[in-house]
Amino acid sequence: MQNSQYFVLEDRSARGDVLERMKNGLPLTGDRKAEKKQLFLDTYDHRLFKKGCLLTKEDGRLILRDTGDGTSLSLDLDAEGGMPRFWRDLPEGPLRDNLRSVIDVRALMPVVGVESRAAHLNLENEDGKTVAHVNFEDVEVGGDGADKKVIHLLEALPMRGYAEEFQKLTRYISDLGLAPAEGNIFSIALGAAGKKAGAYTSKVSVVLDTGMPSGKALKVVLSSLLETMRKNEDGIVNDIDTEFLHDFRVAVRRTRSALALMRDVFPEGVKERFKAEFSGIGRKSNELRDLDIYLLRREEYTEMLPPALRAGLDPLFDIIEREREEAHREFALELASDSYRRSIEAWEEFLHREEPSGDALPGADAPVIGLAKLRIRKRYRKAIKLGKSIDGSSSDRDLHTLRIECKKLRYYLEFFESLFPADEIKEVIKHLKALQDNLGDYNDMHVQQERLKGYISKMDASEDEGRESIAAAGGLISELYMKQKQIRSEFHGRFEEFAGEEMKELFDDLFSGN
Amino acid sequence: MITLALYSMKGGVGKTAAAVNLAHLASAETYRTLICDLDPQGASSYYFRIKAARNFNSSKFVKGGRFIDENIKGTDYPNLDLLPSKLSYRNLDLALDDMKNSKFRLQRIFREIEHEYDYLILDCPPGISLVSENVFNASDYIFVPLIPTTLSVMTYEKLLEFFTKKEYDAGRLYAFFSMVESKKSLHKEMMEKIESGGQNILRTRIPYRSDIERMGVYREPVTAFLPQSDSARIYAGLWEEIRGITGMGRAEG
Repeated sequence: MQNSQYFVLEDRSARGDVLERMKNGLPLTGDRKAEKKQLFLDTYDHRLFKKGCLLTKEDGRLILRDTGDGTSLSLDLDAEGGMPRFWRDLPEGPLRDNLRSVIDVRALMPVVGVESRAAHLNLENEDGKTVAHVNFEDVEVGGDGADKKVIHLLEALPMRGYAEEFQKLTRYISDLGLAPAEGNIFSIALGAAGKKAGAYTSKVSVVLDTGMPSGKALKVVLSSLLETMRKNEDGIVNDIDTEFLHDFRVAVRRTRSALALMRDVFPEGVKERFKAEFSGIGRKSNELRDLDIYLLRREEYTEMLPPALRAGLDPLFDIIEREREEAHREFALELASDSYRRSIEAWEEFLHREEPSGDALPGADAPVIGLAKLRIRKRYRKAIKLGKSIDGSSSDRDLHTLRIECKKLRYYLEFFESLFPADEIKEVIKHLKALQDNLGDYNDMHVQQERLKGYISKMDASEDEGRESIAAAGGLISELYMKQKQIRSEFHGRFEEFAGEEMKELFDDLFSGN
Repeated sequence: MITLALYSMKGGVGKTAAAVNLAHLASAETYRTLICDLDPQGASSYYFRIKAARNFNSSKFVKGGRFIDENIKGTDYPNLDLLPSKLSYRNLDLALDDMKNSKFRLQRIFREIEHEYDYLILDCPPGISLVSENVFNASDYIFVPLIPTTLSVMTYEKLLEFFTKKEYDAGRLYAFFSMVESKKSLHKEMMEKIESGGQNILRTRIPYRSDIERMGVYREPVTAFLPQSDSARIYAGLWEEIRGITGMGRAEG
């Protein structure tokens, strides 16, 4: 079914006039008044909105609406002990299941509050059957104080089976001179508050053009990455969910990769200095991320073990939780530290410095397309060479090196995506991703086993509890080892596909010349 | 999706009134409900002021798929949709007969919408035909309104015989008394006799009431236009019994 269509009224005084003109031409009946207070909840990256869902808290109830088919699920919040943050805070049921499938590990946050006073009217046909609804709404956006804003909306709501009548209705309203507004009440309310719904993305979302000077293009990419880092700082410090740190770290790694592109574009000193800074930031967050991953996997680990060994996980996870708390405290302090602030300020200063500057090298003015093609080509060849040398006797370290190389190639492709035909670059990334997933999972299994071995040495084998935990950790290690072997056996297939003739031709087509 | 049929071999027994009010009560409890009007007279469509599209007909209906999707219409009540019937449904038997697995066609059509609704309520035409057999195969439960008269009871017994003969599970078959006039001693005697017979007989008895008859004037379910009336309360009791039989709890929005 179609979604409802909103129209924006200039001000409250326009309403009477519009209503009168509508009543002149349309069989509108009823004039039911209603007041509503809604708080919209979503994840930081608006996952619900992007999936066409709206989650609100109103009158002590939590309501999940699917704007696609108009269905909704609801739940009494008061009975369930307040506002949920994660899907697992909700009682079992369809609302929880639906929420889980969309928001996954992300936390729900209040996004925007609205208070609306509406007058509902029905559009009827000659049988007195309602075929569409019309709402006039005065909507107060934003909570309290000066940033409060009032918007005046007209909403036309379709009914199933009456598409034609709805179309006539919206055309009639447009003909009155009202402008149709894009989106739903969530995005319109956010817009009124000066924000854009669904604007945040952790992807590299820059648009370059082929003739852009390399120096400028790199700064565009790096500025976008810095923006992503900065947007995630608060979420890390306030410990909203684990994705803030994840997105932050990816932006840091991408920054380090992009710094490697600076050769011949910016002076070596700039590159070296910031490479060291960002390596430091990345390294200081490693521990926290590792521990986050463990905690996220608690359910999975429990499932892996036979029931008799499961109790041994509790003391293990107690340790991990304590370590995680400490690691979080440390990294939050790092983000608040003077040295971090100074690094970021210096970096911003460099990125905002006007071009051309005395710092730039001749390569800075060369068109970015040449740089992009050359560097992608080199990375690709290196990855292929490394991959071909992998055989049964290769060590975990060799696979790790290949994994890092593939990651760099992937980042380069993402930085310069906008310079190449979208379908073809997506095809390249798809194949690369399949290989990366394999290498990533392999490495992951390795890291987890190492860490578990570390915990075993910390357990007291003279106590029952310690022995149980050692058994649980041992059980997990052997399960993880089996999985790791399985993943390794799939490596060659994935690599062959990536290194194959078809991909080679695609790479040649896209990235030869300059 | 739970499929309920309101069915009777005999016409004029209060079938449509029950279907319309039960559907309205289910939807008011936030169950996503579809009422499917199978009767060419289109009484339940009429009660909801809904007309089928001009180009819709029985042969499109039996094709199912997008023809169903495009012709379902929202009623004036939240959570309640209706698939209207057409006069051409008088040929539904013929249209079904042309199909493969002709006795299971409705079941197949409705399977495509089973995730969209919690309850599907079938308002069936009288008679015993290929349409009825489709209804028996497509429904989880079949509810038969029974006027406590000798003739009504005779037809009900015939239905039971038919079920036995065709090896349908008579355990899914429930009767309830309809259009009861408690002043008539014949009605009372009949009801007592049947209730002692050991069949699935619901406790709720729908009386003969003028406000139920007036549904045709208001063109609304009595549970909507006179929610406090005795009739509305009695239908609510019937719904509660039926909801219980289907194993569902009270759902509220």
